[in-house]
Amino acid sequence: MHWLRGLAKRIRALAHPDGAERDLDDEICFHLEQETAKNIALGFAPREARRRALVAFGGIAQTREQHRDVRVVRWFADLIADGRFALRSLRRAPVLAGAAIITLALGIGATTAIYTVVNAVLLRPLPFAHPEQLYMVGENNAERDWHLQDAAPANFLDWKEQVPAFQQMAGYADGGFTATLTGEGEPRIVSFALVTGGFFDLLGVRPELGRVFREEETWHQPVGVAVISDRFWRGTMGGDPHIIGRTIRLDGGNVEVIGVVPADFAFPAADVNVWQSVGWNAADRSAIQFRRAHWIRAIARVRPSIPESAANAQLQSVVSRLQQQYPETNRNMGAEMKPLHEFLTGDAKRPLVVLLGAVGLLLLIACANVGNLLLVHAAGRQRELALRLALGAGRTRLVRQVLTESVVLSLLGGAVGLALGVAGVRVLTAIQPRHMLPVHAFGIDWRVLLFVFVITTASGILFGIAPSL
Amino acid sequence: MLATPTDVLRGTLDLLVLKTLTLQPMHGWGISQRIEQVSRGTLDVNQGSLYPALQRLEQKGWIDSEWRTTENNRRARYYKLTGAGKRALGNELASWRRYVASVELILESANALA
Repeated sequence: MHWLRGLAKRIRALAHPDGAERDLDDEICFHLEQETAKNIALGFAPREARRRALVAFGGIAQTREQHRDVRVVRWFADLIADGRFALRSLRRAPVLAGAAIITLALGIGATTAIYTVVNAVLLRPLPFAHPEQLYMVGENNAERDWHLQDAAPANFLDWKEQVPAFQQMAGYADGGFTATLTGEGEPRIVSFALVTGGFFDLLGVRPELGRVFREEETWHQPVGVAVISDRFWRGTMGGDPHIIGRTIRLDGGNVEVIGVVPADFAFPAADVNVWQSVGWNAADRSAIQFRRAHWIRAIARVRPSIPESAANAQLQSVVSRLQQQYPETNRNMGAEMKPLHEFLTGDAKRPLVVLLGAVGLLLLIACANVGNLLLVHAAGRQRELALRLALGAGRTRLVRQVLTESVVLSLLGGAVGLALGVAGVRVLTAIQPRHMLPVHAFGIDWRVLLFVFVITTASGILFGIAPSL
Repeated sequence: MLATPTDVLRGTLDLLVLKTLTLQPMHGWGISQRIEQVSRGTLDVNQGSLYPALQRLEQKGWIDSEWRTTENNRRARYYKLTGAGKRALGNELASWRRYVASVELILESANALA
């Protein structure tokens, strides 16, 4: 029965080389052999016996297909097949595919980069302990048109001591100060920030080496200690393992390094390398200058159970008491509190949203262009589609297949776009404004990846829908 | 008038396969022959449609299969009923009988009206 072997071979050739398909083919083959043998025994000539066996069996292709439908989830198998077919037909039109992928990659890359920033700046919580409890507290002065301005140290200390809703309070000077570092090779400029003793504890920052300032170090004079950034330690200081306790020379004075904070801490600005205590003199506390010079940014941690309105009411009562107590300096001096996240991102929010809208439009334009390309391409494929319809492909099946092609295209574009986006994020990190956000780098996290995947797939469907119909 | 073989009603093929397998483990061709013989040719089982049905029953866990060699030294896949398959057959039979009875009832009452 050599003709049966041939049939089996042909069936197998049609099949994918997987076990279940082969098993079924063996079964069908066995079945036909048995049926043919039966027919021969009934007296039919071999050729007729085989014909009858095939007739009794019905469509072999249908059986195989139904069997496969039962075996694997149908759409998934179709999807794989369509995906393979899409890759093949893209390879046949490399210029079209290349143009489409580059167009999409640019659109998706730009959107990814901007979304990464939006995600880091607007969507992710601040990288501090319980950031939702943190508020910026600043001075208002209607006469001078101040809103949430830097506070006078004496006022800051009074708020800190007299507002019960504030669990903790710390201040920093937002000055962009620099000092000259000597004794470590070439003299160089380092930027530093001045902070009150509780600054790191308030934000929940733990040192990776040594210790951070203690509350009472607000009042230590002269200021002889410093906390340094991870970058400064690893870079300028050569990653010295004995850095804690080492003395460095800043602006000609000796300063002892007491701690190194983690690399992701970048507050109040990304370029700060050294933090020193404000080093106030306790004797100055009552001096008028201490209430007249406004230069401390104050952050409060509100107790967990207390709503913002209650905390603010307490703050306002302290403020009015201070206005009466110190009319000379505080007559018009109000105060206001605002969630820290809102304060820090306030300036960046609108331009970022506008930028995101702009790159979104760019992506839409890219989709429209690719859609056009595919539409022209589809016109040249009428014959192929007509043939497939004639062979019994359903209309929806064809639409799905063309859509799969466009989604495959957009996924390729998305992959290239993601790479472009990562590069774009590097650039944006490098050129970010100094006070954009207290994070060192805009990271790509699962949210960004999900976003890229969604816009990529959506783009594919968007530009694929017209050609497919 | 010559009786043309009736198409096997949808879903009853499963029942027939299960019932056939209560006798002994069988391969697909054997099952198709058995159904044809027992029904004396009145039921026209499209032999090809047997295999997707077998696959479906196996996925439900009602039957099990293994490859064995036949007496002619040919490799064939034999199907046998599982415990779950036996229970399922009981249920399927009961619901089939209910179905037949209710159709019968309707036909009877239609006769009475006529």
